[in-house]
Amino acid sequence: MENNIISNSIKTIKRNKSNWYIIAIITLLLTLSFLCITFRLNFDKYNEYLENRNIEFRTFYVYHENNSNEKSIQELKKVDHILEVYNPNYASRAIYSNINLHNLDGSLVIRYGTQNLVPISIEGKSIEDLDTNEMICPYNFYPDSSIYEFNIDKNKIIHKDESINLIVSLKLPIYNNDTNSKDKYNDITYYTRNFKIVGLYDNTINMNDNNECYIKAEDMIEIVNKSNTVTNQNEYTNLLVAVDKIQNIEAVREQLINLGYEVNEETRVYIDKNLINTVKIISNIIIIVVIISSFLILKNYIYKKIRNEKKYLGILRACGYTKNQIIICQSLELLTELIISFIISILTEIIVFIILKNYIFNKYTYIGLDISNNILYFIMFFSIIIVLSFLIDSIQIRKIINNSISYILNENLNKSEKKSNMNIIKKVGLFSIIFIITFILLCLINIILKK
Amino acid sequence: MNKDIIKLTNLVKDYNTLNKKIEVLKKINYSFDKGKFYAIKGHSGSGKSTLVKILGLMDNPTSGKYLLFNNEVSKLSDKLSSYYRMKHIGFIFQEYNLNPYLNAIENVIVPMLFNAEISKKERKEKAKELLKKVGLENRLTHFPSDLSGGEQQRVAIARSLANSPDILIADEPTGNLDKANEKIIFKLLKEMSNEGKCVIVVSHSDEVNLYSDICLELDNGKLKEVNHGK
Repeated sequence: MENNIISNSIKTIKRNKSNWYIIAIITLLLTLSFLCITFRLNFDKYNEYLENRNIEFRTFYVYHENNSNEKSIQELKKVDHILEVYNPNYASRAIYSNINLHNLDGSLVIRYGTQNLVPISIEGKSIEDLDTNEMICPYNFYPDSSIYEFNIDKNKIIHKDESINLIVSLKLPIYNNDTNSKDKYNDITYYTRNFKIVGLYDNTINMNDNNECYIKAEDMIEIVNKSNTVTNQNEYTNLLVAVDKIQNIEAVREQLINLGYEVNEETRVYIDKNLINTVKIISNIIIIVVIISSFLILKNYIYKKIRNEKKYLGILRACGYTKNQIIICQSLELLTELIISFIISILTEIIVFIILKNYIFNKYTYIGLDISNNILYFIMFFSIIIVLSFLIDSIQIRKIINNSISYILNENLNKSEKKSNMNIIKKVGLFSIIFIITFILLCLINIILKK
Repeated sequence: MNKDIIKLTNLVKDYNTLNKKIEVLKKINYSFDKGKFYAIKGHSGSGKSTLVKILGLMDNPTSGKYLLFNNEVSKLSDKLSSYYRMKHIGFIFQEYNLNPYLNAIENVIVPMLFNAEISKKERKEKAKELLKKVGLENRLTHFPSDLSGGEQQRVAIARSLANSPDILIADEPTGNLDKANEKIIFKLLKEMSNEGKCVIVVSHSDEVNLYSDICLELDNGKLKEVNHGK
């Protein structure tokens, strides 16, 4: 391709203000759709990660009215796809510790740790080698109650050199179990126990928060029993069953029902599918609206442009340009405009994404909120727009240049036709932008109200 | 040596309307030579523009022969007729039809963009040279909106000369210009014919008689030489 042809296209775009209007409208629509694609894909990925990695999404309650806990545990452990069976009272405890590094308040969660529940440590001891009074914590440790908020201060994260071998003092409240006591909730004593962090695990593997530490199952049982909240563990007949994969949950449920268990229909933690579907539908509708709007806007823009340049096309034919050469020149101009829109949209998208990632969804960055994998989808989406545009462009140009040159040069475009073409572009652009913004606002209001 | 570069034999052009067939050109036989300035005159609707568009390969005759450098060109494919137009014919119109977003040099370069015989470096130099030739050396980077009508038409003339055509066809080139600019344009076209090009001009103006070598009149579909009373 001749450099002069490309440079002429760029010059024409640069010097013609109406090109910048269309670039601005297409950029806005592309940015919106790219944001939708990004959130749609990351949302899917996040849900998929959560469901597949976090064992809470694969854990549910079972109950057998005739079996003791001991008997049920023995029986359930033999069932295919069951990773672990344990008493829900020992599953986890939110607790305050003496850690006050970097002004963190020491809030952490201790979990019932067995080989099947804890990822292999990346530093120090693993769960199977753990001794009593030892614990395994996340390698990016953040023991603070702000962990449940959107933002965490990354500068305060306790990294491995600081956390390994750290002695953590856990302080558990022991409530008065006498139900007749008048001052039951104020009558609290404390049980304190020291643990040493001897191993670090990657909490992104099982999607735990950054303040969740595992201790030996025996230590957990002892702590919970000492804290006096369970009176008789053997009489407690609800048990937690952890399944190896999310797709095996139904099969396991069926087996357990056949064995005479009452099985809870929901897992211990589950995602609100309505919310997921709402987000997916919003994203899909916006993407479809963008494609239709872009099609209508580009169709009218191209129509208007080609009609206005009709006589110039005739001159090019008179100068010896073939039909294909004219299509190349005109399409190149359109392609350049679309590529400029695409580049600006991608840059805007990246900037918006970085802002959202670092300032709003900061806490979730460790699960891999990502844009790089979406580039392929952006390109696919952009390709649809390009193919549609080229089709319209070449059809419109051919409609004109298939006439004889003298006809092309003689026919005049009246002013009202020019005006109405411009009005259609403005109307469609404005309508689609207003529609998308209104739609997003309505959906957000709907989600907020539902919550 | 045969100086004929265009030879028309029994050239006919009809237009079909709803009810009848209109014969615009009736069996025209004529030859155009190199280095001559032809003025074609005739009343409105006589078929002058139709004739020059056929000569410029922008329209096809209904029947007859059109020989360009002894090649029959009346029924060429789009690609070939485009090639002939680029290589041999320069066209000037009443309306200048310059690209408003390109400056004078860039507008003159446009016809050369797909001409493989002119290198990228040569294009700009040639455009400058042509604009200098039409007296616009001080307007090289001006945009059409900054130029007067006469200047725009001179840019259009420079553009028509970009690929060094042998034939220059002008259809009412001074139709939108005042007398002073009209003289400048005809003088320029005369210079082109003196340089060996075949210049064919359609004009209503009597001024063209002063510059043309041969005056032709198209009357009732027939082309004939007339005394132009120079």
